[in-house]
Amino acid sequence: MNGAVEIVSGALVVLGSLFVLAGGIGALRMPDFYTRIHGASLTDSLGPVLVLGGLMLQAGLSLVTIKLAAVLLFLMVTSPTASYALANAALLAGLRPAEMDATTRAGVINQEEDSA
Amino acid sequence: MRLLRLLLVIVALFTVWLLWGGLYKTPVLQLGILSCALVAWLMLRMAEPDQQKYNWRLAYRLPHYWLWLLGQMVVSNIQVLRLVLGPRSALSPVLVEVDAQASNKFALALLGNSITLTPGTLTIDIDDNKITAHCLTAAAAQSLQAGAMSRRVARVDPD
Repeated sequence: MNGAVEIVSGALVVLGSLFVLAGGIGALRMPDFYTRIHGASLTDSLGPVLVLGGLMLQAGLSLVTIKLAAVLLFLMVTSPTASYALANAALLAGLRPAEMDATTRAGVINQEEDSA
Repeated sequence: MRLLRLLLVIVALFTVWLLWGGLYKTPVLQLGILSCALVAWLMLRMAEPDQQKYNWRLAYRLPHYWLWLLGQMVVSNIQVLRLVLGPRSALSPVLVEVDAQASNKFALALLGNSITLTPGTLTIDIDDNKITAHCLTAAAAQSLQAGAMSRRVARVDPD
């Protein structure tokens, strides 16, 4: 019984870490500023839910679990607010998102390849 | 009156610090008082909160909404994960405007944050009752415009 909980909690933590890693890859791979935020948002949505969920299983019913739940709650409120502040600041500064139809999409890809 | 409210805030914050810290050593307590005062000062600098009454029904409606949101997050996380690892040609970013149907600032903030929290859609501007969102794919834009999320938020806090 105890072993099963250990395995599930370990799996959740590893899976969450993989989402955080994918968020990092996304931030690097996406073509423009706004799409990079999308890529990075993997890091602060399901990533912490899985990692903290796994840790809660480890901690069992205790004060630690309540603290972890509070951390999760705060993260779920603050991280989208921070993303909004970032994106809204870029918008106000005049950075237009690339609305990609077929031609501009080709253009962005060419740019990427030129700089690479 | 204002000073009294400020003191109340500091006392409440410090109680939380004591309950959660569980460490009763002098330097820790000093640090606690200092950070509580800092938070109170930051609150003073923020805009005066509008006198919106707290709706107690939120206490059971909000967790219900969070469960639904968690399901949405799982689905959209997997979609964005595939976009991140897949070919770049799968991307088709668009801007969409969503009619928020929100009755107050809390509901508006909840909707804006929920849109950002589901990967693939990102709130970039909130204007009165319109939310401008940046979507990673046309499919994400369509499901956002179908309006399931804004209807749910409107039901969480209808008054």
